[in-house]
Amino acid sequence: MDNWNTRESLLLRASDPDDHEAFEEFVYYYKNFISMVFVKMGVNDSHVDDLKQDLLVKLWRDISKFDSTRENSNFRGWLSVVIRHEVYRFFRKSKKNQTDELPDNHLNLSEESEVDKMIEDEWKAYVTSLAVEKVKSYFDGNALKVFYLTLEGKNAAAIAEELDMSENSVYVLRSRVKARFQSEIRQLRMFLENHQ
Amino acid sequence: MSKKSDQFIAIPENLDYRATEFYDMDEDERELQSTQLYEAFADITKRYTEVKEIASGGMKIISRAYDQKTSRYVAMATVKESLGSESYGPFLAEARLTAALHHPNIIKVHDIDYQGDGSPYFTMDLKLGDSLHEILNKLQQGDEAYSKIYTRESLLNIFIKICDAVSYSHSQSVLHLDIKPENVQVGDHGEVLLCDWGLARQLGDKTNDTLELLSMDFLRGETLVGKVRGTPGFIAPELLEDKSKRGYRSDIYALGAVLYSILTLKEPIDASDVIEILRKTKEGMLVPPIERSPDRSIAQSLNAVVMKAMAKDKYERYQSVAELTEDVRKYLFGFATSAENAGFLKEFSLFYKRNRNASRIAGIAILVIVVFTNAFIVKLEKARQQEHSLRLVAEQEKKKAEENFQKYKEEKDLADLTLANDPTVVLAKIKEYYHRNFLHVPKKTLDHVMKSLERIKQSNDSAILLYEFKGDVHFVRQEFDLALNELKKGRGAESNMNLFSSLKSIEDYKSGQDPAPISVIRKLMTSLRGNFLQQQVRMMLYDREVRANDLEHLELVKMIFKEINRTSEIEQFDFDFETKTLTISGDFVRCSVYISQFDRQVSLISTLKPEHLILKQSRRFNMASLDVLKLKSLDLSAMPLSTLNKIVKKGVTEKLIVSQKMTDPELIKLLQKENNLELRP
Repeated sequence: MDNWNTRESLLLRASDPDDHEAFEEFVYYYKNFISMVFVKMGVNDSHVDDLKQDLLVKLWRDISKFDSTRENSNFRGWLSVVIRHEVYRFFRKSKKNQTDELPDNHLNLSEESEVDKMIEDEWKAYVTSLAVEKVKSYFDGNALKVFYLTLEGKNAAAIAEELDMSENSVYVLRSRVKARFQSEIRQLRMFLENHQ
Repeated sequence: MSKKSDQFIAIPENLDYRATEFYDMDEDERELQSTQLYEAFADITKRYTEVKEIASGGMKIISRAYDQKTSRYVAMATVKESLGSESYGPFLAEARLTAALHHPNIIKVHDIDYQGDGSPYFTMDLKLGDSLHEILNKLQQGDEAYSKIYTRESLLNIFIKICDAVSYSHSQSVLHLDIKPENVQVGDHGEVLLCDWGLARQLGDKTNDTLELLSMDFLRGETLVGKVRGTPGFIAPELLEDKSKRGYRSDIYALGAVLYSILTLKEPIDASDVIEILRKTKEGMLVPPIERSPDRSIAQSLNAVVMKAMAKDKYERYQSVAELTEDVRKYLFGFATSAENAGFLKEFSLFYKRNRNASRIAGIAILVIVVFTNAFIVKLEKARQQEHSLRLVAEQEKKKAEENFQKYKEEKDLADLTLANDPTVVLAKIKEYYHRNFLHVPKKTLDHVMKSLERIKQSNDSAILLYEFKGDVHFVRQEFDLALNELKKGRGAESNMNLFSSLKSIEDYKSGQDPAPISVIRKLMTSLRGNFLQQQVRMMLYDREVRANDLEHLELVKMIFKEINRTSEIEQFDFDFETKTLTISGDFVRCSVYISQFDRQVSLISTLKPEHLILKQSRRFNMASLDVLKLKSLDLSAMPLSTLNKIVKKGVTEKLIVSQKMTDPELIKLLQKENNLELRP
């Protein structure tokens, strides 16, 4: 009973202010990602939760204004801008209050493109990690081992030797898991990013 | 669409950065493997021979060819020479896209390659038989042989197969965008293939096509409309405005148009030229099939299905192909379709058709009673003339007869249910009854449901469903030991591990007439850890009817409210029985929850019958079922309100209290119009 495949885009449903289920799911999938990004941007742990709540409410409110049909617009880019602004605003405020140290961070926050790049990389990792979780439920044993070893960059011959199987079965298992994995990623992106 | 929380993917604690390269990877870049299998054929220098053109379209030429390697005939598609190398890209894209679809009703691509001159080709199943278009034409001309084979029913079965193919491709996020009878191939043995994916797109692919390719039909029309892709009559109105608006519902429109042609044997839109067709499409000027072909005796229900699928506003169409298919299937099985909003009479006549024998027996029985009652009344009439006192007695008798008749009718309903041939159908009907009535009269409904369930004949197919259904009803009735028993008879722990072990943890509790003690329910809910929430809500609604102790019921409501709201986010939940005041404080507060079985928001606090509600600190709250509560007052003064909260403007009879400082002035204006508003600083 996997209805995942046919589900409508979460963002589209989330644009409907009366769809509380969508809100719940929206919060579920986005709050962890947002926390991760905040931490990476050097927001103090004690502020992450507050900031996250503010941002979620903001996203929730503005999502219907996001227009995917405009040229060069995608949700990821939009999200990245909203997050960036929120964090800048936060740092400006705390600087004024002199309550917080500015973050000692290897990330150059003044370089917008660098921040966007970080957010984008983080999002990619987030989506693929979710897909990994999803794939786990479909395969077991050697199929997953082959896949992980492939991720670590091992070639078929090495994997075959390590798992004591023929090279041919490594190919077969790998392509099966890989195909599933790619299809999960596509569906997740459809679900979490697509807005139409 | 199912929205249960247990379908959420667990969010991993640490991100896995190893696989991010897959994020953007095109699935089509999958490694081509097993090439070594062909090595044995190395000495075959030319794979395809005997190439002979059999058809040509806007972009492709289709030929029959013999495949030396597999030793069979295949269909080979090549690019029209006149189009030049510019068209190679789109051509290959079509081949790849079709190749990625695996479905018995979708044409299969065998091979994609280049010819000696560098132009690409691909091979497919060689389709035998006619296209649906040819079949419909023959039927229109009154061809006898065809009329015999292609009855309305068999055409509808073909249609369902097309829908299955489209439903599958949608699940893969692929839109066909050119569904029409010409593109449906029907084999002599009932094989149905959806072909020509030349316009198909992956949903979300917003690339504009540099090369505007048109269906053949289009080319014989006008050049004016060169920006549009698709086939007039089958193309959805929104695509005429902006093709980036393409979506699943555009295909659903086309499916509706195909069904239109099947029913009427005519083009979906009646017009003299392409321009007019497009104008009528845009304006949604569609003649209902029934009016278009009055002589073809088209069922109301199918007419309604077409009109819904081809609605001008895409949001009024079916939401998914599955829904559309379901309605056509319902017609084939003699049920009312969702599109026709069947009334009682319609349902009844369909019910009669399905259960002809049972209905006839019941009908005769009713007739006998009516005849007897009638005879009785006639006799009574005589008696009245004779003796006044006798009439009183007789009237009592008549009343009794009517009561008996009523009782008989109710039991007949039950018997009808349990006598039907297929227990799964019976179960579905009982479930429907359950979902329709539970919210109004929980206890009576469950009693009735359980009584019916116990009468069902058991069969292997339905046994597990039956046990699980019974288990569910027992659970809601707080008969946890009986619920566990049913689960054990069925799939046991396998069906729902968490539920099974939770029920096992309270195995010692023996249910009786009284509702289960709160301590037992608490233990169960702790063990369920937030699963099975919908059942818990139903149990709570049922509890109000059976539990005499108000304080205990309040405790249960509180427990379930916290479950739904995830305990950590609710700071306060107090109810004062004297003033009937409920106070809730928390971050995100949900006062109602969507229960999929009932397809509606169900209030979590209605069983307390509060007259006053105080809501504090909430950033967001849901109020969907506020008007059910008929509150006298609602106090929102301890929370900020924006114009988004205008939903609160209805549903309070006496007083609405908000904070002047924290409320958007625009909202205050709005609320003042409709309410007795009290402003607090």
